[in-house]
Amino acid sequence: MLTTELSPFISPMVREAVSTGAVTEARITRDYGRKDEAFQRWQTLIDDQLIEWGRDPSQLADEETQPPSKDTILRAILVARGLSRADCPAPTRIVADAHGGIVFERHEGNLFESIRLLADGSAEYCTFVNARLVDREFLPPHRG
Amino acid sequence: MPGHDGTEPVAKDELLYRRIPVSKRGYDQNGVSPEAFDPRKNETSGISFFRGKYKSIQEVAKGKSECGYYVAVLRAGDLIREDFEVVPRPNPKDPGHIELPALTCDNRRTPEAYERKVRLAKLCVRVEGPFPPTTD
Repeated sequence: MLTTELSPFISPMVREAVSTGAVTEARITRDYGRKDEAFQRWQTLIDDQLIEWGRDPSQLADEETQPPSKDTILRAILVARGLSRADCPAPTRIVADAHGGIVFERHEGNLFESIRLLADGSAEYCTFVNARLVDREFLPPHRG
Repeated sequence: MPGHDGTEPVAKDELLYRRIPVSKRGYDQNGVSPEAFDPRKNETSGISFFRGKYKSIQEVAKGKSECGYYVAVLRAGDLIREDFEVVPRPNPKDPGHIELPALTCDNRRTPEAYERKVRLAKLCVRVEGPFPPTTD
């Protein structure tokens, strides 16, 4: 039997039924509220940005900076899916840095958090409060 | 500019410009990302800005990135007040070129550099663009 190979560049199936009022006035699907909003935000970032970057990384090329490789973009998609499934708050935005890395940023009041996926496969998590770095964790590249 | 060759000190009321590639998403409705100030490979002696008195925003925005550029606008006085040293580094092509030696490609992974990038993002007074890519 032919099967479609799973690829990070293809969106996963939708998590739940889409609510409509087609059959009954009252919605019979469950409302996940804020949790669902975060899921949708993650999904939008994955579908509209990361998968789009992965389809054509050359769009990030610039004469002065290094674009993220397909491997780094793939890693970003997998990390985004993992954080989304773990119900982590969605980032405010996802940015490409000047050295082939990808950064997930989240702002909330005076708090700023970033997860940087570096081109060498390592990752770094930082927390800033009022622009002061208060926490920094480094994850070396995964081997094997 | 008569009487000026770009070596004169940067005045507090001068506006400074830095180009941000649209494709990297360093600017959106949430404002400017600290990554707009990530030092590039060639910024070994300090990240670059351009003085508004020598170059228009449209000229700063010129470049070949497929999706074009935004231009972040900062006030020199804000940088000086935040203890950034603002150094004129004119060259024949860009007499209005300046650098911030506190933030370089070599020190970009230090805690101090990370904080400086976050502070610079907060100091942006506005962002212009997007401007389309150019071929020249």
